[in-house]
Amino acid sequence: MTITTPTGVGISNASALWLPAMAQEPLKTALQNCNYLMQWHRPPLVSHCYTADDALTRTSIYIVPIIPSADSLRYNFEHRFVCSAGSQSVTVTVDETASYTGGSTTWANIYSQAVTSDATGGNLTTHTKTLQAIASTSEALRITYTAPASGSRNDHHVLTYPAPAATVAGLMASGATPFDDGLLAHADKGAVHTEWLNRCKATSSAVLRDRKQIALSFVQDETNQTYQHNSLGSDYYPLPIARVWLPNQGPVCTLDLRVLASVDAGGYSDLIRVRQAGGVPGAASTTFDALGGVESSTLALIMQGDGLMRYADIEIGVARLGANKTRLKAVSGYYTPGQ
Amino acid sequence: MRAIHPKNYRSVDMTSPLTGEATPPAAAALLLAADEWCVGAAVSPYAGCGHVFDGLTASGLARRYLAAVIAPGAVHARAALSRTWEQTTAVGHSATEHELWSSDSGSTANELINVPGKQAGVGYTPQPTFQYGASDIVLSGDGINDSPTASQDRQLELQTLAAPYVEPLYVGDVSAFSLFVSDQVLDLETL
Repeated sequence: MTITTPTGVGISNASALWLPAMAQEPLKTALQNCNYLMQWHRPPLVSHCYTADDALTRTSIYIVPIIPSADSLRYNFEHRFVCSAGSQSVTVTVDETASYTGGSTTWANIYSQAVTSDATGGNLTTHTKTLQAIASTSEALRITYTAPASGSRNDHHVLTYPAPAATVAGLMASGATPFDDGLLAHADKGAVHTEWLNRCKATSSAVLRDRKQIALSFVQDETNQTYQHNSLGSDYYPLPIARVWLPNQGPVCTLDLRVLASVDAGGYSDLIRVRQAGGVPGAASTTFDALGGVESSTLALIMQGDGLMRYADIEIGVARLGANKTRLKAVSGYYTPGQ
Repeated sequence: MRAIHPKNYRSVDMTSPLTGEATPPAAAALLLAADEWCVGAAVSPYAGCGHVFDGLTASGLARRYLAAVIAPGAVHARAALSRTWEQTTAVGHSATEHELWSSDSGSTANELINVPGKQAGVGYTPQPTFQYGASDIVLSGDGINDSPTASQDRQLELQTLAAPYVEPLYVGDVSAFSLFVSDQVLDLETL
């Protein structure tokens, strides 16, 4: 019995599906695509462009709320930054926590690595770290970049996407089940049973729903925010509107939102608002406390456009109370197919 | 010839089995449905993430490098670019056009994609800002020209593969950005 995982999605000819032969195919290809999805369905978990000061000469720390896979998968990380001087050493560290509580948070290290920036100052440095496991219980990642010895650093983007290990037998926590070809490929040709057919849907659906897709992102430094919202009235002041694309989905889709914000003192209730923008009738909004921990809620989106161009415009707003600063540190919005 | 059949996961039951019968008739439709679930999941484009960030208030922030993971079967992509401004005298970093490129679309002069920027109107100059301003969103061009002889506003080329891959990107002078797959392979059998 062999679990075969194709490196590309297997496509059976249309004719083979409509006029199937009394043979292993095309069912075998469909079932092997279950294995393919388990290893190769790779929607990003993190895709955040940093909002930070220009020309940083200090260490930066970013906290990114996440909803990782229930299967505690391995992920690949790609970090993009620019150093003004060539060949600078920047140490990139990624930690995870199951409960973010500010300075008292207990962090578990995922990896730490010294990276030499591009030999030419001002050029992009891309640092890739592959196959790093993120626990299913993690609530947030901490990403740290140290200061270069010479010149400055501009932080651009972090990308994290699944890179699971080879598929193994058994039911995963996500509900996905791989296929081994033992019975189907046996010389005596076992009978086709309905579980094989149902497994195609069950595993596809489980993988789709387990690997949340980042759909909205914002992050700035944990303690040195560029924007602290310290000169506002009590109304919500909007950040730039972003367009979120959910191809072919709707008419209503719901994002899972995670927000991290704090206040220096005083009231903290409902100081962060996320809403659908664009004057869409019936558009929803949701608010979050700036309590210093990761807050959770959902936002229903009335999708606009058609086909691949299905979208919703989203606005993040920040309010403050009195003279107390409101520090918005991160927003992560996740799309789950079917939700 | 096998076309992509887009699946709207909001309109289907994600949890019930394909069939509840122990011995269903050997219908091709059942086999097709089973196959379509796996193939559909593989080639459905991932969510086009709306990235909010300050790429406007200093010249050092204007160039933004990022990357996207592209699902199998994609051919072209377009982008949504947000601009945020106040109508005062310009002192920040402003541009008459937004540059855009991806690794596969190309980054040499003729391959650059130029999306028209926010233009000064009568009586005001748009000053880029990140908060407290007004925002609008412009889409990159819908024209397809994979061999341009001059920079223009057009769709980005993507790799049409049977597995997902990472597409490096660059965009200039925006306050939010998202990428979406605008064109998929016509015949899956060519993947």
